[in-house]
Amino acid sequence: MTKVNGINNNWTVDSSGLGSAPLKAGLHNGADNSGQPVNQGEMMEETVNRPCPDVRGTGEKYWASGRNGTLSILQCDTCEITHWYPRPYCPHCGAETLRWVACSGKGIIHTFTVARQSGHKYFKTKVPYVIAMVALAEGPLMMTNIVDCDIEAVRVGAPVSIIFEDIADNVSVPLFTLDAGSPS
Amino acid sequence: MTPSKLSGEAAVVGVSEAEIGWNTKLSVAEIMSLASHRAVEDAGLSIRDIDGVFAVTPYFWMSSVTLAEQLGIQPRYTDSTNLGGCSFVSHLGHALSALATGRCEVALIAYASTQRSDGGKLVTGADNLPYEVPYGFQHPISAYAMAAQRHMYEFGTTREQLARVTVTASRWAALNPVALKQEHVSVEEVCQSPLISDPLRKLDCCLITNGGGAVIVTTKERARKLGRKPVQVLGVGESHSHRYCAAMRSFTTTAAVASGKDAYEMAGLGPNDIDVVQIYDAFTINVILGLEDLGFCKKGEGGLLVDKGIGPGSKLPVNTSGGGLRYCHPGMFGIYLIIEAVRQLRQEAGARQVNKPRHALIHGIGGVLSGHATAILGA
Repeated sequence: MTKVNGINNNWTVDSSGLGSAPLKAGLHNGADNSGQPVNQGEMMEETVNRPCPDVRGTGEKYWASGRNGTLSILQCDTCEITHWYPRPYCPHCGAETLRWVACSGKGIIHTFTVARQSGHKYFKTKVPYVIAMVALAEGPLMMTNIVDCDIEAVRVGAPVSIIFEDIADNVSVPLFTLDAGSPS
Repeated sequence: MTPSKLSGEAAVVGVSEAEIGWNTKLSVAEIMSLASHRAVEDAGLSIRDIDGVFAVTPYFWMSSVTLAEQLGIQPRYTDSTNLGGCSFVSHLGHALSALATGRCEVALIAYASTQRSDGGKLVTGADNLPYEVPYGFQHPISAYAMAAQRHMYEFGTTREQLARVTVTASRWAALNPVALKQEHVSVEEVCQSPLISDPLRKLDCCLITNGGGAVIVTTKERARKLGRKPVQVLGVGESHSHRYCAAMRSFTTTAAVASGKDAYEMAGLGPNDIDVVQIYDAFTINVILGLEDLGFCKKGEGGLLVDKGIGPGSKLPVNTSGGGLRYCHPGMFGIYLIIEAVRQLRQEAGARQVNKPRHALIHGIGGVLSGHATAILGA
């Protein structure tokens, strides 16, 4: 059957079919691994969590890697290029020998948008929120949210640092915050 | 065999819309069927002449198969390729190959959607990439918004330039009696419409309507025997650089560069030879990116070209139907790019007719700037 998702005429997302996670979400940067939120700035609904991805496949280690505060991504042994999102063969040269490398957690906002409305049960509690592509110091662009900041201060080119939200035992979602004192 | 050998081997001989509007009592399959019957009538052919079927709509898993059943035909060539909203421009290229190699003689390309009547939501078969799921990515606007944001950062494209794409579309639509939005809009109205996903505002986004459409393509030999002047398929190209926004490596240059190059090369033409342009305008930024990537101006100068004028009376008329922004947008607009280009080349576009165009360029965009298909048609 064709899966027919819906987005309404206000450009909001239908969340049907997305899983939700059993753990209470908490942001951390690895230093505090208690699962308690380090950011209390956003009101969370008790029963609605950030949607949890299907982690099966090459990315399983990626999703789990943030639990200790360090994101792991794949680098090709042949062409040395790191890529995001994790794929079992290098998308740059086709080689199959890849290694996990630890990211510095630093990046630059390549581009972003502020979602002003949402029909999603979780994200409608978060609007306005920032979806961004961050250029990791290691090279690749990755999709993320910029959190715990004044959204009107978010700029292309702004330096950002990684933070994690544990949403399941094996899933720590990488997010980014604006670096202090970054130009606005 | 080089692709240039295919140039002009097929011709578009019939086009039609069906059920463009806000309400319908017909089903999706019935609208596809209605459009198909009208298009064969326009061609001076019979539905029994069709032996190649090309279709895609998110409503049917096997779109060309569903359409053929509805029409009561058993084709010998069938294609439900889905590259998103540009699919029909891709189908035109596939049909050219099939016709030129004798795999079929009369090809039908068709589409329909009732997304407006189904609750006013974009109906899409789009799946979710796990790496986008936790971030509230909104298909498809988040990707186009991030392209616009990056374009503004890299090239200084302005909010007003984006707005001028809609303003121009509104000028064209006012000349198209079947366009669903007839009133002119101003730069101020666009810039003051509600923010949806920064920097894109409501009036940067296409309409959400019902509608179907169909196109008949045949061999140049068969086309000559028909009553009306055929519109030659001179060049085609297609490509895709990614499927999901998460895998985009550029937010300012698209695979239109590749599809456009192939289409120009097959046709033996360049941007200076093009008299009228149709670019899939799901969002205002699409037109700016398309004009740049298809060589109508330098990279980064698309906003300036829009300022210079792409409306009625301009040197480079773009989206003469009013486009997805003002004419109609049932979800996959590509079929209407072909229909409008054919009407312009036949010089039957009424008040919006461009002065004696010889060559039209069509560029479809699908998914999140993912799928790209270009075609060049000749009068």
